Amino acid sequence: MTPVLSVENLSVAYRVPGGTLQAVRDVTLSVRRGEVLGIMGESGCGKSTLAAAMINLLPPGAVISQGAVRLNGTDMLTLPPAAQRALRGRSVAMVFQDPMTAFNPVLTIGRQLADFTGAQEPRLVDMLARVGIPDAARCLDRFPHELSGGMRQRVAIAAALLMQPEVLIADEPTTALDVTMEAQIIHLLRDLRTTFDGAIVIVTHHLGVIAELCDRVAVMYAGEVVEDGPVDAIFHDPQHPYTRALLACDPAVVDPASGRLPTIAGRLPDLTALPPGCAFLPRCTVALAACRTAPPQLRPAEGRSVLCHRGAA
Amino acid sequence: MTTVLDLAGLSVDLPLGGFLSRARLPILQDVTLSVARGESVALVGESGSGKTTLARAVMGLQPISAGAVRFDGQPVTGPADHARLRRDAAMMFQDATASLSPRLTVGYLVTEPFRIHRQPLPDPARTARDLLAAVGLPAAIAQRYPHELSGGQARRVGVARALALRPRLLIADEPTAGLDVSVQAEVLNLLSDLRRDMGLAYLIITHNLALVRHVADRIVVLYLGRVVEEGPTAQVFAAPAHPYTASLIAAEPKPDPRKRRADLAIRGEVPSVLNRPKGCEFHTRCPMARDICRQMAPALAPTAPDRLARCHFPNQPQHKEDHHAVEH
Repeated sequence: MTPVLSVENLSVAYRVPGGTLQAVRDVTLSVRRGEVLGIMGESGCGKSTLAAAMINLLPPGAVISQGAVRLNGTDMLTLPPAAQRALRGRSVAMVFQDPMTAFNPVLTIGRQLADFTGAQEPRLVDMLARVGIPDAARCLDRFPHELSGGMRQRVAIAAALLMQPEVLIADEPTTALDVTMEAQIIHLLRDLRTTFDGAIVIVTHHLGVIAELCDRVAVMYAGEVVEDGPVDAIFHDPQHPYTRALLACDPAVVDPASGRLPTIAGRLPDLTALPPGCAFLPRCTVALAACRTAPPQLRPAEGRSVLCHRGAA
Repeated sequence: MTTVLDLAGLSVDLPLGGFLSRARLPILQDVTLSVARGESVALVGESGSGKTTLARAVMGLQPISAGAVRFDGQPVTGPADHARLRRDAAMMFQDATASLSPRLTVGYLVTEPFRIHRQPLPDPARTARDLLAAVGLPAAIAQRYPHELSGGQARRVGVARALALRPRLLIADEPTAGLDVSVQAEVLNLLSDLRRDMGLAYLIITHNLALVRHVADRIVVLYLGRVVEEGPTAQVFAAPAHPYTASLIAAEPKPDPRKRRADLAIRGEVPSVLNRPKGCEFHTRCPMARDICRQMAPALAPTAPDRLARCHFPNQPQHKEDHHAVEH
């Protein structure tokens, strides 16, 4: 099946005092209808910039130095601004981390949903009920501050779905929520797969959320996708040394009796002055001589790929 | 073992508001807990369970309406006692960067507790260097300002500042919230090193159960301002006595796609404190609630040595088949 949304060799940079910060570097990935893609990485790895590029909502300082973001084959980046606006929200919808900031605090939920989706009340009530809002009709008369964080997140998901988008992008959708509400939102998103026929992209640093929800995972480090593959392969047979290190230091998987938690020594390289070789080299425990001199090339293998000189083992 | 912090029947009410209204809203009800020397106790619960209010009440930032706080065996009653407590028990705040004044250098910030509590500080630069070294930060960072720090560094500066006056107790409110996985591991290792080296006791307030499993000897679970379960961490995780604790543990997303949950561990939201359920306050979300739970509130009672639970039917396995219906 052809992908709904594909990112091809995309590079995005920000101009900063003293140089250019390479936030996203030569990223290629795609998501098909009915599929849930996870983009996983730590702060500063470029996952939010990538998500913003996917919905064509990059901040003014961002420069796209190469690549394309294709929606059903059409490169959104080359469209005139009016056509871009028409696609944004309608074909690609986004759910943010804190939905409080996404709503206007002085208008009721019903008024806002009607304004930005153009839907009539019966449809709004239906959709709110579908995302699990109890007493959906009354919810329309409420203001955003009257809802809990979990309820606001449900309303944000309902608002996105009302547009019948082809791609739904959720940036850290459960980070601001309690564990009980997080479980319920995960449950809702997973259940949506049976009724929503578009593609879902989940951007998060939370390994548990990725494992619970996604079909495929792209792991990002220093602006690059370092590993990409089916969720089971990524979690049970990680190939890239960064993926391995990241999975190993999650307190949820480490035996408490072992005392100390593994860490990843060192820090992210300076994205304004990248080294000539592999960006993960200074923190890598299995580096080769070649890692110092040349950047690794993406090695594809059976539905997955690894950006490492050692390649897929 | 001697007790560092001892709370007996602590209750906190807030005025309900309204002109001339005398109504008060109970936030914490009859909370009894103690932290021994060198012990690490985790206080767990969802937003609105009263975790942060408890920390504020201990530090004297929130008046208590009933009960007693003892620190190092001494009752804490007036402002003078609280000043002493704030010197010997340090607080680590949730938002590390926001809790550091943006106009002061890291070097000044970590030695500020000496100035606040008017303690002698003969060589500020050296003290700053030692404190930063204790939390694994280079001395050069003393010249930096808070906005120049990464999330993990700001958290370490918060710890260094908390350690300045060599406290016996550290109260940490969500010590790893907002940190990346690898940085979170560093902060947790730091906390366990400090405990080993300085004999520090911890009261850790969090909703992150993975963290609790690693750093706490004992766990206290709050629901709507009441303790619903208490016990040694390993035992509680292995066999939770209260259905709420069991739901919290089950709700945690597992970083393993082969262990996905088909069912939902817990539904609905925490009821409002304005409208507490009758009987057992958890019955509205409890998968095992029976008639008695809707009518009569259970008492906090022992279920095993060292263990307490507030439930009419503790230690019951959850009925899995009840959960299969999809409800969001």
